[in-house]
Amino acid sequence: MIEIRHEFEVDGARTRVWELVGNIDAFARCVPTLIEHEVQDDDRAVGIVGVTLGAIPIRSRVDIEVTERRPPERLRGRAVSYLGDTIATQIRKGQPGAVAADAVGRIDIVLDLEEAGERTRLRFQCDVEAEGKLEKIYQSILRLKADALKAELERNVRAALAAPAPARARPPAAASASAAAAGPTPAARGPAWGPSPAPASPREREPSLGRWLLGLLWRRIYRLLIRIATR
Amino acid sequence: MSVECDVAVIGAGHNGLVCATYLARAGLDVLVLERRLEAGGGLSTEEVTLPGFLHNLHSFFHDAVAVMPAMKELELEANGARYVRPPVQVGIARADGRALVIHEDLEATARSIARFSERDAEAYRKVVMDYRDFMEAVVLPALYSEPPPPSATVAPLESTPEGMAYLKLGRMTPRGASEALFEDETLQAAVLFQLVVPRGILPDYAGLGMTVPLVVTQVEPSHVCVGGSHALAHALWRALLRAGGRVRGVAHVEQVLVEGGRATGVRLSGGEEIRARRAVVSAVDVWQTFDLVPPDGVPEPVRRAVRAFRADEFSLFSVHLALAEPPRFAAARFDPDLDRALKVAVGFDCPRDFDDCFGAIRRGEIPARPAMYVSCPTVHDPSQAPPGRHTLLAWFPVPARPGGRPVEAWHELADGVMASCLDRLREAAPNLGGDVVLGKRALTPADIVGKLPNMRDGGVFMGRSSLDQIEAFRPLPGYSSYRAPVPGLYLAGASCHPGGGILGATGGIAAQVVKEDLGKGKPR
Repeated sequence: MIEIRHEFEVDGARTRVWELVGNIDAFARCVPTLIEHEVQDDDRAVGIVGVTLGAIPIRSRVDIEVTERRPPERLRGRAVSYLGDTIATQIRKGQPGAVAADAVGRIDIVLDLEEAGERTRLRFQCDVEAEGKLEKIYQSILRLKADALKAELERNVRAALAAPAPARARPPAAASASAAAAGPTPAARGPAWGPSPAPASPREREPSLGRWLLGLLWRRIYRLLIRIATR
Repeated sequence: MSVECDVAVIGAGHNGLVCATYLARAGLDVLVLERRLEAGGGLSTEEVTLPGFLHNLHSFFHDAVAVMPAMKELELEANGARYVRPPVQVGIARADGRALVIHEDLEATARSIARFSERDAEAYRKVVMDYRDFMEAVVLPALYSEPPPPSATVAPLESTPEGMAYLKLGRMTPRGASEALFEDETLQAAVLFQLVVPRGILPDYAGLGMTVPLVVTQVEPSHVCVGGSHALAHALWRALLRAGGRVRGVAHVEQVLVEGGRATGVRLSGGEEIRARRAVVSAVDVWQTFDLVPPDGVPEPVRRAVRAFRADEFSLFSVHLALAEPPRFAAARFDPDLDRALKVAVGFDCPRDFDDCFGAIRRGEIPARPAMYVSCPTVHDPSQAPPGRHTLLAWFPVPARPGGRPVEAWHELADGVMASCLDRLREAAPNLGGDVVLGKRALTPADIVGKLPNMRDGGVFMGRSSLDQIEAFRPLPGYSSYRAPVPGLYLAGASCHPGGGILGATGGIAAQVVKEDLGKGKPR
């Protein structure tokens, strides 16, 4: 298991920071290694992660799921990385457990927000479980890149908070990014809060506390229904 | 009579000792069985010329010690293994009196290259900048991990043009890759020189072009073991004993015991049985290992595949000299740093020299003009000779069976070949004549085979390092996970990934696999 821990403070009240991190599309744009992503619903996204080592970019695919929201203090998520369109993946596509069978990495993420006066402290915990044969390589890459990635996360979050307040994320909303890029930068990824490329309706562009609360309630009800159905 | 242990390890070469020590530290009762009187395998240092002159008879260039996990995890330095890292790594002593020198320092190397080609100096810097991070973060750790399937090494790279460029480089031969990257023949030779020894990779091995950036980036610089290579064997031995492990010498394993389909121990010549309650680990080569298993213990297709696993293509004829002074290369007039280089190429001026050398070897001929790896260990570690004196080692790649004759034919050829080597050495270092040479001794492929049966056909890498015999294909597809077809039997020798050389890798990875299977390691 590879543990990554980081904490930093940002300007702004916790509720404001929560609006960013609780928005899967907006927060995905802040994640340094996430080069491209496509939101599937409020809790799920797929994407491509990558790092560049010297002249060599390394890419793998990732499925991301938000597993717990405790606004405005905690967000929990899980990601599964896999090597992508190998023949095995193609054959198993769509089958239950297909991604898990091909997974080369499993990442558990916990993000805690704490009030720090007028600022907010973000405490980030990331546990990476790499498939046995790749663990040493994952460890080695993270050791090399960890400091730079932490700094980039901080920069991206601060830049996103400094931008105008968000529209609600609408699936799908694939970020445009060059696969040859050395890695995402806030500029390359676009403003964290920007409207989606194809908003569903003008109403969706305007922030609304009421709509946010309704969405939160709906998500809770949806999860309850799923739990009942799968019992 | 029967002796018991948790794990019996066959072979006390460095991989066997590394594996045994890890297992002993995990709380297992480990017994290592070595056919020779002493442990260490290729880590052999002996006074074969004169008293006080220590000669490294097999392993010498220890490339991976700076990155080898076992160095720290087994506390080998505390147990007596100390190393020197020469700042001047490689020198090409050309016959025309020029020299190209590879330093640990990139700029010093670039200055030396620039005397041959300004363009290549810049290209060399670029290769280092482009590939060093990847080599350190991905390639080196991969040496110390179970090999993943081939798709796992390609898929993460194939979605970008830069990744595809690296994959294209990897598809080339080392010679092709060095020609693609550099224009100057001497620099190409310097790269190829570092691949043949100590990596066993020949210039025309298809699909191994990625080894060129590996050597250019110098992520595995060569080291000299203080006191001689055997000091590492001593350190491993101490570490094993301190962990509670046991070693028995003159213990010739004749058979792996298989009962109920499971490896349960070994039988020694003389009939003694060693019972292994948990596992048997073989750190010898794959051919010997499967010969030790009873016929019905291994399916015939697997046996056939093992027989088809190819030995190294070349062996080494070594000349060991006791000297009154170090060699002074004629080409050091062009670049004085040549005299400080750890490895000096004599007779490998350009890629064509490799063609000539290995072309002859493949025809079963001893190359007409010796091409050698020359090193003066005492320039870097004076403790290997009496004060003011020096040793020299020269390795000459040769066929194991000269002219198709049995390897024993080398005994009658040794003196003549040694004379040729000395003549060639004197051309390169004119001071190596007269009273300077105090003693000399040659070791032939017959001596290698006689002393170390692990080194089949006198090959020092325990199996050819060609594309079809590395990574997930080493030693066999389906058996690259260090588990033999017989449950309870494990493979920890250099016939497994990542192959030969003093890497401490195979033993370490095998130990991890054994621990996990026995519930003593991280769950898989």
